[in-house]
Amino acid sequence: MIELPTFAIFFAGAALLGVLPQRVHGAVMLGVPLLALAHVATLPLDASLPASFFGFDVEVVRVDALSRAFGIVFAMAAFLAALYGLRLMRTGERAAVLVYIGSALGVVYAGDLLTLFAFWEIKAITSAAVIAAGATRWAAQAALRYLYVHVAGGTVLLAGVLIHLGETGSLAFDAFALDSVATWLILIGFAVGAAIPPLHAWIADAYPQASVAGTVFLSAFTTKAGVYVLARGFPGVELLVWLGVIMALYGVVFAVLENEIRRLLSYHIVSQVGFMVAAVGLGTELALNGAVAHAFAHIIYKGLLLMGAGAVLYAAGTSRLTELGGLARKQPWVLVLFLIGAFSISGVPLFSGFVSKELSIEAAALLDRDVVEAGLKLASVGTFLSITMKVTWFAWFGTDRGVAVRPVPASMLTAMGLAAAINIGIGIYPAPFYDLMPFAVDFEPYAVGQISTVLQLLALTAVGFWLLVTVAAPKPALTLDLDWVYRGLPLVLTRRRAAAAPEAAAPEAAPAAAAPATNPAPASSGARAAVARALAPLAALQTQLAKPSDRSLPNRADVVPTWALGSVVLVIAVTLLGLGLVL
Amino acid sequence: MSRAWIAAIALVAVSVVVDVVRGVPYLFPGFWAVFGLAGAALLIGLAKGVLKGLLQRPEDHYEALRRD
Repeated sequence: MIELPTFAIFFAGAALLGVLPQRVHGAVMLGVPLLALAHVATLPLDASLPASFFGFDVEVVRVDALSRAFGIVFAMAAFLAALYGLRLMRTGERAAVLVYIGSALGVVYAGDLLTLFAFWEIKAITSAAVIAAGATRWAAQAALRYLYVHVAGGTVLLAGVLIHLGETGSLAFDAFALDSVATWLILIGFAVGAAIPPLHAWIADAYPQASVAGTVFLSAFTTKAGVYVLARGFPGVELLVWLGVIMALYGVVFAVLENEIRRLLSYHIVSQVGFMVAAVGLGTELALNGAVAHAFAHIIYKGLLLMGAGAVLYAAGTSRLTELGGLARKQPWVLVLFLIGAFSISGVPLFSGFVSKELSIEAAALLDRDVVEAGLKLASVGTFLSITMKVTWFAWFGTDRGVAVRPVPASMLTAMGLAAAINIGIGIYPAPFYDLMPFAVDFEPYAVGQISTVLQLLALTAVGFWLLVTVAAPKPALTLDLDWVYRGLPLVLTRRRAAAAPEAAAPEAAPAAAAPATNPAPASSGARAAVARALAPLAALQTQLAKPSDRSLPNRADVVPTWALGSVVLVIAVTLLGLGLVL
Repeated sequence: MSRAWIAAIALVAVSVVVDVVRGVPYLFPGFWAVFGLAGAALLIGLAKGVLKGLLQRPEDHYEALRRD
C-alpha cells in the first residue's frame, strides 16, 4: 500500500501554477518531474493503492517491473522537456502539459480497466490542449481532429471494457486472450493510442502543429502509453507482429517523402513504435524486454531529435528542409546534439538505440522469424537514410540558402545536452539500463557479429544515399495520408454534391410526367449522395475552422486564450486531485 | 564527401573481413552491406518513384479544397 500516486504530483503541480506567481512557474515545471522521478524510483515493486469506485474494486496504482520502467522514463522525459521549454511556454500550456504527463503516469500505474480508461481520456483531452497551444489556426484545427480520433478510440475502449465487465465480471487489467468482441474492442482502443496503421494518421497531422516545446512532450507519452498497454494486455498476439513490421516500414517510407522536419520525425515515431509493437507481438521475455527497452530509449532520443528540430525552427523560423541548408556553421552545437539523437535512433553502436533495438531483432532471429527480422532491418536502413543522412544533409550541410538564425536559449541546449548524455551513457554502459527491464536480460549487444552487421548495414545505406542524393532531395509538397479520409473526403464529396445540385434541380423543375419513372438514378450515386449528406456536417466544420480569415496569428492569445485553457486544465486537475484524495 | 565515402567503404571492407574470419554469419560475407545498399535504393525508389506521384499534393491542398 502506498500513500501517494505519482500522477497526483503532476496534478498538484498544475494546480500550483494557478495560484503561484508566474516567476516561479519555471521552478514548478522543473521541480515536479524531479519529485516524481524520486517518487517512482523509490516505489517498491508490488506496491498498490486499492480503492472502491461506485461499488467497483479498483487499483489506482499497481507497481511492477513493467510499470516501473515506464514510470521512470516518463519522469525523466518530463524533466528534460520541461527544461527545454523553460523559456518557451505559457501558463496554460504548462498546466496542460503537467496534467497530460500525470494522466500518462496514471495509465502506466493503473491496475484495472476503469482507472485506465479514466486516465486514458484525461490524457487525450489534455494532449489535445497541448497541441492547441501551438497557437495557430492550423494547430487549433489539428487539435480538434486529434480529439475526434482519440475520443472515438476511447469510446471503443470503453465499449470493450464494459462488454468485458459484463462477460467476465472482472475489471482486472492483465493479459487478455484475443477471443471475444470485448478484447478486440480493447485492442482497437489501444491501437489508436499506439498509432498502429490504419489508425496512425493523427500523429503526423497533429504533432508538428504543437509549439516547439509541446511537440517534445507529445512525442514522449501518448504512443508509449499505447505500447505499455499493449505490452501488458496483448503480449504474444501474432497480429501485432505483422502490424509492427508494417508500421516500422510505413513510417520510414513516408519519412523519405517528407520535407518538414517535425512531420518527418512524427513518421519516425510510427516507425519506431512499430519495432515495439512487433516485439510485443513476438511475446518472448527477450522480445518484451526489447519493446520496453526501445520505448525507454526512444523517449529519450526522439525527444532529443525533436528538440533539435525545434531549435532549428526557433532559430531559423522554418523547419522545411527545402528552405534550410548550411546551418552547420551557424548552429554547430545543435548539429552535434542532433547527430547524437540521429545515431541513437539509427542504432549506431555506442548509442542507446543500438542496445535497445537489437533486443527485438535478436528476439525475432531466435524465433527464426526471418521475414520479421529482415523487415525490421530494412526499417533501420530507412531510419538511417531519412534522419541521419537526409535531415542532417539538407538542413545543416547542402546548399546554404542564407537563412538567418537567432541564438537558442541556454536552457534548450542544456536539455539537449542532458538527453544526448543519457543516450551515450545507455549506449556505452547498458547494464543499469537492462536492470530496469521487466525480465532479466541475457543478451550481449557488443558481440563482434552484431557490430559487424550493423556497420555493414549503415555504411552502405550512407553510400546509397550519396548515390541517389538528387533523387532523395525533399520537395515542398504535402503527402496525403489516411487522415485524408476525414480531412479531404468530406470536402470532396460535398463539392461533388454541390456540383451535382444544378443537374438535380433541373428534373425537379420539369413536369413530373417528363421524369423517366422507369429509369431511377443509379444506386451508386444515391449511396454517394447519402455519404456526402452524412459527412456534410464534418465538411462544414472543417470549412468553419478554416474561416478565421487568412491573417497570420503571431499572437498566441488570438487563438488559444491561455487563461481559458489554463482554467479548464486547472478545473480538471483540481477535480481529479479531489477524486484521488477521496479514493 | 570523398573522405566520408572512403570511411564508409573502409568500414564495410573491415566488417567483411571480420565476417570471413569469423565464418559466414548470413548467406555470404558482406550480405548486410548489400542489404543496406539495396534497401536504401528500394526505399528511395518506392517513395520517390511510386508514392510521390500518387500521394504528394501542393502544400495548400486542404485549403484549396475548402476554397473550391
